[in-house]
Amino acid sequence: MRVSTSLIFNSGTSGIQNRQYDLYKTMNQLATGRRIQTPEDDPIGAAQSLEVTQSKEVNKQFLDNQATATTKLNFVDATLGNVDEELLSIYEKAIQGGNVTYSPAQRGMVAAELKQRMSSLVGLANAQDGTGLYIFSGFKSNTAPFQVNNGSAPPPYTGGTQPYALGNATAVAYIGDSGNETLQVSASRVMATGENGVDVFMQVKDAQGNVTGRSMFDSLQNLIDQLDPSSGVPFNTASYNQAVADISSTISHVSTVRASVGARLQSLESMSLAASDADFQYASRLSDLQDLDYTDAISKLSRYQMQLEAAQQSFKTTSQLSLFNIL
Amino acid sequence: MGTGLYSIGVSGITAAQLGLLATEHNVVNANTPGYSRQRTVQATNIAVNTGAGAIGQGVHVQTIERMYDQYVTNQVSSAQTQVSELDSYYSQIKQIDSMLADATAGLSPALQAFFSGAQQVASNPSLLPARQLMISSAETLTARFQMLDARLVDMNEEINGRMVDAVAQVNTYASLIADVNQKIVIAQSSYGQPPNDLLDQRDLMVNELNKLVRVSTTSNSDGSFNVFIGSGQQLVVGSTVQEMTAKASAADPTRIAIGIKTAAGAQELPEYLITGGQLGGLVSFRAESLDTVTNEIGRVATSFALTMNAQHALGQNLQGQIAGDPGFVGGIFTLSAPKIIGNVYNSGSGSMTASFNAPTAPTAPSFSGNFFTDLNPSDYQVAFGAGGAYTVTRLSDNQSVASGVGAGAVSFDGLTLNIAAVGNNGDKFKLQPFSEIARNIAVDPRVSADPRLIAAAAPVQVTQGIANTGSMKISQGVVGVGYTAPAAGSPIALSVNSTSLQGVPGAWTAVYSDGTQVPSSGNIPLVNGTATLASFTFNNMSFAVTGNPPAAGSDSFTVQRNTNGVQDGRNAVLFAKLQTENTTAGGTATYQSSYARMVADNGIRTREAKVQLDAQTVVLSQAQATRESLSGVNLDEEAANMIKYQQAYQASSKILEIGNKLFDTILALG
Repeated sequence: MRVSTSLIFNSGTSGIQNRQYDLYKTMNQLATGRRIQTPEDDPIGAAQSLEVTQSKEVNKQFLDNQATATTKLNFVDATLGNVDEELLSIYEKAIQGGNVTYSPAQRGMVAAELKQRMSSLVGLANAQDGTGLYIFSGFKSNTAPFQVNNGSAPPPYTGGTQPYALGNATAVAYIGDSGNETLQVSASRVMATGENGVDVFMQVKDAQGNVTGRSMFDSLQNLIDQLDPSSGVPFNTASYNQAVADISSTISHVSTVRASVGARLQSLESMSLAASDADFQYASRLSDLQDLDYTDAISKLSRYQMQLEAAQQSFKTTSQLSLFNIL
Repeated sequence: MGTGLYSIGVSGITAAQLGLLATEHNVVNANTPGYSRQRTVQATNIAVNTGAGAIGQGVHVQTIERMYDQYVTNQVSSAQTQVSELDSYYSQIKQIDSMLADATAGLSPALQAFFSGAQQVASNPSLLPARQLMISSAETLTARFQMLDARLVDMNEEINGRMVDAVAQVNTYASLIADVNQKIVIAQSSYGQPPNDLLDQRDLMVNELNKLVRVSTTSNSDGSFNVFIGSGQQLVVGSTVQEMTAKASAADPTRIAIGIKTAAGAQELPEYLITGGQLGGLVSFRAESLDTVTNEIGRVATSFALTMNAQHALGQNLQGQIAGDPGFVGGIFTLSAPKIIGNVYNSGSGSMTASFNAPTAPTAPSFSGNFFTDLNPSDYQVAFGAGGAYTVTRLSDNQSVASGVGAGAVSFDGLTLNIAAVGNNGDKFKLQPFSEIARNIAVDPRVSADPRLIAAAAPVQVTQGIANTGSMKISQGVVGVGYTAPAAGSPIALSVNSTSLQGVPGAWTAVYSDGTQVPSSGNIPLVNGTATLASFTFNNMSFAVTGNPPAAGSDSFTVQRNTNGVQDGRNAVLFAKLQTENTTAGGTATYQSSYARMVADNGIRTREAKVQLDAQTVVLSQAQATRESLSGVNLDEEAANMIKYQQAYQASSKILEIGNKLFDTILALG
């Protein structure tokens, strides 16, 4: 075949240019560490890495939400722990105050202490989180949910009953609502991240799960009135024992609520473990999709380098051959 | 005898001289583009017949021929036009590819940031900083849409500019070819010999023309060429030129259309006729990639805004306002209406507007599921016939999607077209639903000025009676489109005894544990056969029921407005969840997967273009090598030829010398 002089030059330079492009591309890959520079390099891989990136980010969002939920539930749990402690000391005092050998004055002293406990219990029920939101008020978290019915006349004592009761006259009124804050903690689960005052303090259930009909504060107020000589309610062993039994019910009720909170905390923990694991898997999938195989790239680089040098060398040799040099 | 000797010698010298001239011409033109090497064609002079035989009379040069093959030259031109087309297509689409690929500038990071902001609101609905963050990230997202659009608009401008330039060059080459045609005709008729260099020049020009747009040629008997574009549109006929035009399209003035100059102005050529070369690449890039990506990005933006707004409108803002209340803003995002452009040749006074339909909503009785759109990333053409009849054609697949007669509204593909006045027979309108969406999408200014307007809460809430004795609970409720919440201060009191739920106003639908749906009104029975009540829906509000009713007496529940429900993030949870729901393409793809699919499609097209370009470049260089091997100059060969003709010249001179000596010998005799 005839070969024209310009063809020799053109194919020489285009050979060198092609090798230089290969080198440039591999160099770029090595510099960025990315296998896919633009979607053109691997369109499907690029689309997949967009999807995986979203999955990874959503998973990370769930991890964040799980952390938020854990913080909120931990705060609820810690507050309920304090409530629990208060109730246990109240129970202890109540047993003490039930001692038949106690004089009215001695009962009055117990009542005085229990009144203090009452106000700290109401304080706990009106607990606010770090941002000033009331944690037991349902959705109305800007409203202090529990209000002591100060000055309202106690219900008339009719003997043998527990005068303060829900739906009758209640010692502390609840003005929050039944809402529970929720948060998306995983793709399939929206979790309640709090407890409202109705479920915790108002609708107390006994160990059998039956509604007692008296709130935590009602039970305590009934106890105090029995002990307090100035209340006008006479001490009656049967009524008193019922009041003490009510306190016992509230202790078991708070335990039940804490168990539910604890169960959620536990599942959050296992969700976080799973999500962290998923995060790692998404990261490694992304790495598979996007990241460069350095061994391969470096071996390519040296191959292209060799080819470029060969192309340059052969161009140098061929271009110097001319009959005019000899004639 | 002596004259014979001289004349043979002189004929040899002349032939050798011409040979040397041709060789030198080759040597100096070795690097001239389009040059075909030339050589002399020698033949013997007519012999003198004598009794002693035919005595040869020397040599003459018949012609100087160029080493040329029309077929090979056509191959080069045809490969060249494809390479130029692919090259211009590839260099354009590569820009979109890089833009979409950019990990920081693409849509994905902004979309992700927006939903992180929404999640912050869901976590802390009463915190203003969380709401402010969501608004800021929404503004970042709309700015990202606008940036993507600005790049695409820039590219459209660039294409318009390139098309105008290319058409100007086409016209220049066309007039040059016409000029050369004339010279060739004159040269050929005057001398009867081929004007080799002019022919090369014209072939080169045709090749340059092919770099701009694919042309075909036919040759006339007088040696001139006719040049055609498309399916036989004349560009050059002999020495006359039919100029091409690049003017704003009649259907859409934002883009340049290529046409043929006519006495009346310009006749637009259909785009499918413009193939090959830079123009072909630009036209097909614009149709296949630029329009598609613009429409896809517009569609993602539209779906996003429509579904987010629809879900947001079902909420309650921090000020306690819900849909219908003064001051409530339902949509976070504002969208521009679909664009309609009347063709400049329309003779009638037709006018119309278009709007996006509301997205498909979660349905009663449960209102589970999510909002989704079903839009096609395409432009549409509305064409009027006689008597106000019209048809709407989807341009992506040329399917007729709607037709009708007279003014009125017509719905198709998630759009509603309102024809206010019909056009005359033959009038056309172009409907571009998505072309300006990404440019104009914005956060509603009222929302961006007041983060409290984000409707993170749900509008209703259920409070259980404080003295309830049963374990039955009624959920806080989910609302659907068109819900009627109880008026503020007028809660709906429900009571439940051991057999029924009472107090639900008007018609309701009860759903039982076995999935049975019972629509009725009055009291809701708690059991249906063996199934128990699972949920009930009224006024487009749905409430789930769990637990058991009281054994005796009745429990009470109150359905009411979510007054002061500042820490309620139920609606925020729902709109934040849209990120992972199938909200686009008829409920089959998420925002992100729609976007990812477009990135993949564009990537595949880019890759295809690159692969074809590489393959076609090989074809071109093979064709060029074939042409070069025939027509290209090899300097070594020319060096050899120089020696050859030099020696022929010297030998012929020697003949003269010998003739001279012979003559001297004879003279010496005398």
